[in-house]
This record gives sequence, structure tokens and C-alpha cells, in this order.
Amino acid sequence: MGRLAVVTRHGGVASSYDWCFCQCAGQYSGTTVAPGTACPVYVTSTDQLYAEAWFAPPCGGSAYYYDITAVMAWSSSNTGVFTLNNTNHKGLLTAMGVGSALAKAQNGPGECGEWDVYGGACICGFYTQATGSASCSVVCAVPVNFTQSGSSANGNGNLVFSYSWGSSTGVLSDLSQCSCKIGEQVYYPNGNPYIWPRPPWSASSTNPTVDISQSATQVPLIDSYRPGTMVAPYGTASFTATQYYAYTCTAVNNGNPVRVAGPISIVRSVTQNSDGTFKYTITKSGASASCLVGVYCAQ
Amino acid sequence: MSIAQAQGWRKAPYCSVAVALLACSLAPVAKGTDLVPVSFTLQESTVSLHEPIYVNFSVRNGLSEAIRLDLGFDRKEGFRFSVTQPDASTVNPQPYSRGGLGLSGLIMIEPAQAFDQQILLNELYQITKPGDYWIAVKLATPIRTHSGLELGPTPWERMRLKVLGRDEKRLADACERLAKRATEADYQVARAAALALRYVQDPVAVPYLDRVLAKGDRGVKGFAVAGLASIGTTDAINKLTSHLNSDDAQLRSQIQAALSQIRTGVKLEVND
Repeated sequence: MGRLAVVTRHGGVASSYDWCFCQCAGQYSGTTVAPGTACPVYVTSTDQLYAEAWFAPPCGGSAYYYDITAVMAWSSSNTGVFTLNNTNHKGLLTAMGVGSALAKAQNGPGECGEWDVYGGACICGFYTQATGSASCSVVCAVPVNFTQSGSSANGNGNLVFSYSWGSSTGVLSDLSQCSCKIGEQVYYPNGNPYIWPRPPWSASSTNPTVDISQSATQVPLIDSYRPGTMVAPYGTASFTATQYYAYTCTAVNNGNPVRVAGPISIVRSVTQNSDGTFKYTITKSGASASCLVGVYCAQ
Repeated sequence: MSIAQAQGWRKAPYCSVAVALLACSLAPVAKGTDLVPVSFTLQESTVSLHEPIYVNFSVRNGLSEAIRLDLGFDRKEGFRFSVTQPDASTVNPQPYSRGGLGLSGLIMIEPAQAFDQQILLNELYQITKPGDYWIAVKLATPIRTHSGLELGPTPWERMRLKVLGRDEKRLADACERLAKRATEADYQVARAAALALRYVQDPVAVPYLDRVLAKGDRGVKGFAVAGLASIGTTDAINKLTSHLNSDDAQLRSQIQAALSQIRTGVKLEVND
């Protein structure tokens, strides 16, 4: 009997479009592509096994498979999610926006699916009608592999880190397609604003300090930690803030932050030296910076 | 031999900020080099009081190898400004310094390529009186070739800025343009516009900042909160308060802290 024409794709399509991650696992489903990009889910001559119909030879012989991609009529149930090409590169899927839709393939009765012999005559029992549909999803490219790529300190008590990341599609610029931004959430011990211990500080911070406003396409990101304003007479104190790094992308987690690193402790302290002076120290992720309060600490 | 000498460049005389800038400007100062010209120009040489003041910075690489420049944290820390005010007094604004997140300042420019950037002077220095100003600006660190040779210090560039009296109509037009960009443009443009609007520290800006709070991308709303907090008028406070019931917890937190800042006078710092 004839079989429904199915189009399946395997990961890593051999083409320059590999970054599209066209992973249609069976029945033309599970396509994962970044919106705004074209991704070839059509079947080429080298991909016969992935789009085929089953046909039978007249009254005997072995059944055979036939790639019918090029003769199918393709359509999308929602062209806002993706379109399907029906002219050149038939079956080419072009992602338009985040979401899921049905990819449909249809063709009228084609070759004979089963031959029968009646009264010595070889007649067709039924003709194939290749029709199918499956769900394909278009998802956002998101930041991945967020890692600390360096740190440095200076005598002014400034501690600086750099962070890098990649894109789930492998192409950093894809992160703009869903307006991905990256940043941090810093939680201080209590209150909003958090009043830094006084003395020695005369500073306050929005609590939590949330800044997820850097475009995720710009790598690396520099994160700078300053001593904060201190005023005489100085004293000893310490406090710990807790930090997370996170990204936001439209249509991912409803646009809410997705954390990629943390919790990370940021420990600040001011201690007294034996000569009566005060020393500021900040420590984070094993790196630290110090300065002599009132003399070298940056304000 | 330095690369500058090798290329036959004129060596720019060193001009200390302490030295009168006028004297410096009259000296035969090489502006960058012939092959790596560095320029600073005012986008508008005449503005009204409280308008954004942009300095356009440009470096072009005419060498046969790549050059590197370090603009510091968020590509802002590496500039030095000196402002001669209408009364002839000179102030040296603190270099850009804050904690938090920013872009890397390390820039590589390939041969025959250029790098351009706008600097918002208002972030570093607030002009409070009309009159004629001289804005001097330079790079804090020298440009180097990719192989590490120093091209020599970049000289101060002096620019004349005429600041007219406060003009509500003109300021409102400027705010309208910024608010439109901050709410409609691509994100990077929107962010830059929201930042500029944040520094229009004039009550005229209040409705425009409010529009950014209502319609802007979540990533730019923090600038609007900070701008309204800086203005601190009853109108500004009312606008901030009206957004306290927002669904956005981040925004609510920013507004609560900003209102506290207005109430207590304790300035919020960004140190992390």
C-alpha cells in the first residue's frame, strides 16, 4: 500500500544553514530555527531517505521509495510563524516569528499504491495520496555558555570582571532577533534602598539592583565594582551582596529574566590597620581588590 | 625608534590640563597623526540650556596594520574633559566612573577602517549657565599598533560651545525627538536616546521621561526613573508614583529607591 509522504530532517543539515538546527524528528516536527531566518527543510537529492513515498510496481516486483518533495504542495498554518516555499526550493521553511505552526504537505492521487490482478488483468487497487502535516516550532536564539573570561584589580579598590557567552544558534547576531539583553541582579542584605553601613560608607543602592539592559550581541561584558563613597570618621564594617547574571529575550520565559550564573557573593569589608588607617577590600569569585581608605580608594 | 618616528609623524606637544588651554591650542599641535587622525567635534556648536551636548569622536586608521585603543569602561572612562566656563574658570570633570555593567573599551581598528562614537558630555558635566564655553577633550591613553608600538599621546582638542538661555520650546522639541527614539527605535538607538533624555535635568523633560516609562523597552526604563529622580519636582514625583503599580518588579524597585532618594537626599550609587 502507499505510504504517506513524510519529511523528516536530521540535525546538522549539510549546508551553510547548519546553524538553523533543523531537527525535524520524524513527521516533519520539532524544527527549531531562529526567527527571521530561512532554514532549508526541503529535501535535496542527497536526502532521499527523509522525504519519500512508497510505491508498488505493477503486479509484482519490489516496492520502491520515491522522493516526492518537489511535487508536493506545501503550506503553513500560520505564516506569521513560518512560510513554506512552493516554487524554488520547494518545502523551504522560512522562520518569521516565534511560535508553533503546522507544516502541511499535500498532493493529489499519484502513482499506484497497490496493484491487484483481477481476471488476469493488472489493475490498481488504490492510488497514493500523499498528505501530511506536523508541528514545527520557531524559537528564539538565547545566550549560552556564560563564563567569566577575566578579572583585574587596581590600587583604587576597583575590581573588574569580564564575561563572555555565545548564542544557542552559534551566531551571536541572532541574539538580536528576540531582543535579547543580558545583565545582572544584585541583592543587598535588606531594605530598598539598601543603606551601606555607616561608617565608613555614605552610600545607598537600589535593592535589588537589576540591570539587564546590555544588548546580548555585544561580547564581552565588563562588570566593575567600586568601593563606594566613604566619609571620615571611618570605621570597620562589612556586608555581602548576592549576585546573579541573567538574560531576557522576548518570547522566552514571558520576557522575564532567565538566570545564567549565580548566586555569587560580593563581600565588602573595611578593616583597621595596625597604624590606625583603614583598608577596604572587596572579594568576588576568588578575586579581590584593596585600597587605603581616604587616600587611594576611588570614590 | 617609535612607530611615530618611523612614520615621520610630528610629535604632539604635551599639554597639561593645568596649563592654560588657550596657550596649548595656539601651539602647533598635531591632531593625532597624519596616518591615524583622531578628531573630536561638537555635534551642535550652539545649544540651549539643558539640551544634550554630543561630542563626536572619530579615529581613522591609515596604517598598514591594525591599531588598538582603550576607551576604558563602557567606552567612556578613557576620555578626559576640561571645560572653560564663561567666567574663564576651568573645571576638569571627573572621568566617567561607575560600577556595574558596561562595554569593553578595547577597540581594534583594521587598516583603512574607522571607529566613530558619540560622547554625551552631560553625563560628566552639567552646564547650568548660558554663555560661551570651551570644551577640551582628549584620549587618556595613547593609541597603539596591533604589535604594541605606541603612537604617542593624542593632543587636546578644543571646541567652542555657545549655550543659549533656557528655551522651553527648543528643549521640548529636543525631548520629543529623544522620547520618540527611546520608545520606537532599535534597541541600541533607543538606549542612547533614553540616556540623553535622562540627563535633560529640566522640568520640561518630565512628560517625555514619563512616556519612556510607559512605552519604552524594559531595558531603558531605568534611565527614565533616574531622570525623573534628578528633576525631583512634584510633577516628576507624581509621574514616578503613578508607575508604582507596574507589573514589572524591577521597575517598582527602581521607583521605590528613587522616591527614597528624593525624600532623603541620599544619592543612589551604582557600585556593582
